[in-house]
Amino acid sequence: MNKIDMDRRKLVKMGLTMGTFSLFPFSCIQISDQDTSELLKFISHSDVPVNEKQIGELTSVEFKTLSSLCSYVNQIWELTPNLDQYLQTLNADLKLKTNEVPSYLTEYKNAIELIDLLEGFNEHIDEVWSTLLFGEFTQEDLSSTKIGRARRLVFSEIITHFVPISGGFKAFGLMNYRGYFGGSYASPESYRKMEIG
Amino acid sequence: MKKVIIIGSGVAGTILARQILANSDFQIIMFEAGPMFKPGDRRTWLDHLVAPNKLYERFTDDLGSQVGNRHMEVFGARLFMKGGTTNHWGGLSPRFKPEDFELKSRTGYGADWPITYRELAPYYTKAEALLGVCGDSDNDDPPRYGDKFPFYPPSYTLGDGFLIKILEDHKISYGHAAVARNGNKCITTGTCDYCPTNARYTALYDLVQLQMKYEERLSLHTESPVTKILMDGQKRAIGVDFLDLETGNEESMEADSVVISSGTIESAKLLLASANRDWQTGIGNHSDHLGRHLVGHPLMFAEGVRSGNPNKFNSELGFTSLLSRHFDSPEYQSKGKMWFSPKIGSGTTIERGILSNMSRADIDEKMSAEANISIGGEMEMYDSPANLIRLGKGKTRHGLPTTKMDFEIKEITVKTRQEHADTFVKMLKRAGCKENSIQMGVLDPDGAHASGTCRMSHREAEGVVDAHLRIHNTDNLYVCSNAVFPSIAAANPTLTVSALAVRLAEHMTLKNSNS
Repeated sequence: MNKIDMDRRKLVKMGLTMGTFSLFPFSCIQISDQDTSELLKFISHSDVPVNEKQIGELTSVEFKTLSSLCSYVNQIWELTPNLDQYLQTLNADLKLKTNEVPSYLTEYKNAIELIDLLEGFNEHIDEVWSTLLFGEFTQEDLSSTKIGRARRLVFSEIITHFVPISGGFKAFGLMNYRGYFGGSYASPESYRKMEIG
Repeated sequence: MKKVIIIGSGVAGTILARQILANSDFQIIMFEAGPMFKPGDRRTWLDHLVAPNKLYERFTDDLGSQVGNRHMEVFGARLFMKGGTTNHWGGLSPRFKPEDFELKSRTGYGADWPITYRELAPYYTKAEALLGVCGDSDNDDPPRYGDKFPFYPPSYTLGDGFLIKILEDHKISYGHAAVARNGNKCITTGTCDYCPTNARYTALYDLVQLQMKYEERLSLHTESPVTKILMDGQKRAIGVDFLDLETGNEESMEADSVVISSGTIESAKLLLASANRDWQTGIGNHSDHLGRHLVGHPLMFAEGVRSGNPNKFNSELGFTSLLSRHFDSPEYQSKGKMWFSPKIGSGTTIERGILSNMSRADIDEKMSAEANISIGGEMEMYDSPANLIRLGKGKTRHGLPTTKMDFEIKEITVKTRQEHADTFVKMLKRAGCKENSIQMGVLDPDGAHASGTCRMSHREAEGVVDAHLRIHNTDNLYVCSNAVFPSIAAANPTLTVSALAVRLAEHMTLKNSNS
């Protein structure tokens, strides 16, 4: 019999986990050494957003650049036919993330810089996103670098927002999902109930 | 106007405040060691959605702020903030059972309660209304004497249906979990640790409402740990000393009555720290029971992986809906009663699949290929006078004294805990989990359900507070917390301490109207 480490909180949370990264090669862009060093630039070890007290909003162009992540994900994984509707919610929620402390404004702008940087190498945004999300880098510990922080604090968080808020999980045959506003538990539409008989 | 100080803004203090404010013209002054927090805030909810384990990090105990030969680990279990530990509680709100109030008489362990289940039953009903508990009113174990839950329970999930077949196969009884979810507000979002609609009861949201309704009569001092109970002679509490963490100043506040609702560990420590000429080893400690009889809930769990999950079972409801109190019965009282809840889910999440660059088909296949089944339970333990809390050296980040704690679990509890865990493993095997996938474990109690350091008794020689939660040999100093429990039972303690708070409010307001 195996023994595992557990505490009450873990026990309560059994079955509830957030997405974590693992890196797989995918049709990635060739990047120059100079620009690789930009991606691997040290930013911070902290879990707290950089310049967390600097509040503000992304410009519409910046939002469009960042939200191209959702277009890419939606194209590959076919989550929702109502992407534009979801992007309105994302826009409003990102404003909350940048207008209040801890502000993600600097983290978002750093991520947008990376998108712009890689777009300079290739016309295909798909390959840009493939590299940003899944590209392998030689550095062992990416977590404190510009690309590592963008993956952890920006791209991962947006995808974790996208799947439930857009209702995209329904494409996998589910009715409710952590983060989705399923409605009253009395409603037959809110979650899959035990079949009687 | 009579002034009442309540120390602690968790569920006990808040329910007490609500009932006193509703039934008297008293003024309430509440002290909370931790900071403010906002309920139902979209930005906070967004943070919780993407990083569920981080939201409450700054409100926990300091890691390593307790010492002792062996201790109950409180780090991560308790929260020091407006609303206290209800901010991250699961909401399980079962009643204790009638036999739980007669532990000593029935088993020889611990102590009996100075009140019976029958006496507490009407207060349980009121507490269920205040917490907004949904439950099965037709389930009469324990007896409800015709009283209804305020909300009916959610239907079992599709995954529950699978698990129920396993329970029935083992001839194990089960039922709907009684949980504090307002059925009119719950939108089944599954982010219950920070509910976007305040459907799950929190003392935080309750206090926000109370502050609006009783603006003139309720004041709350956050980041203000109380350091001492001030007494005039042996019998009369006259106020408190507290520390303003923002200014660093020591200040005092006078009152006509003082209620300590600071949880099991801090309530005992405050009474110890308030030692004076009349109470030389701590207020309420003439019989040396203060800080003793500490108990919690030992835990056990097992999980395994089963091939095939064509329905892609997942945690669609987000809170416990299926629960068994089969082993929480008089037959198990002399070895260790227990309740448990099984859960079933798929082996991955969609976002994890995307972030791992799995194709849509691969995610779909992985979700359908395997089901993770887990069973977690909590059990009763018996107290020992050697289980002891004392004041440690130095202060925590919340301005409270550190804790010195000695703690042990009786051998019979250790043995029964293992038996319960073995039962879980048998159920997993029967559910089709692969032998080599099954993991099991047992855990000592953490601080979440800690109880017993100021226990209730008829006589001062046997405890710290009387049946009305007043410290023996005092006129106006009360403890309203799990600390007063003479035994812990198997069930979660929140509803029971809420019922005691309703009862205490009635006592305090009636006493005033009589006088």
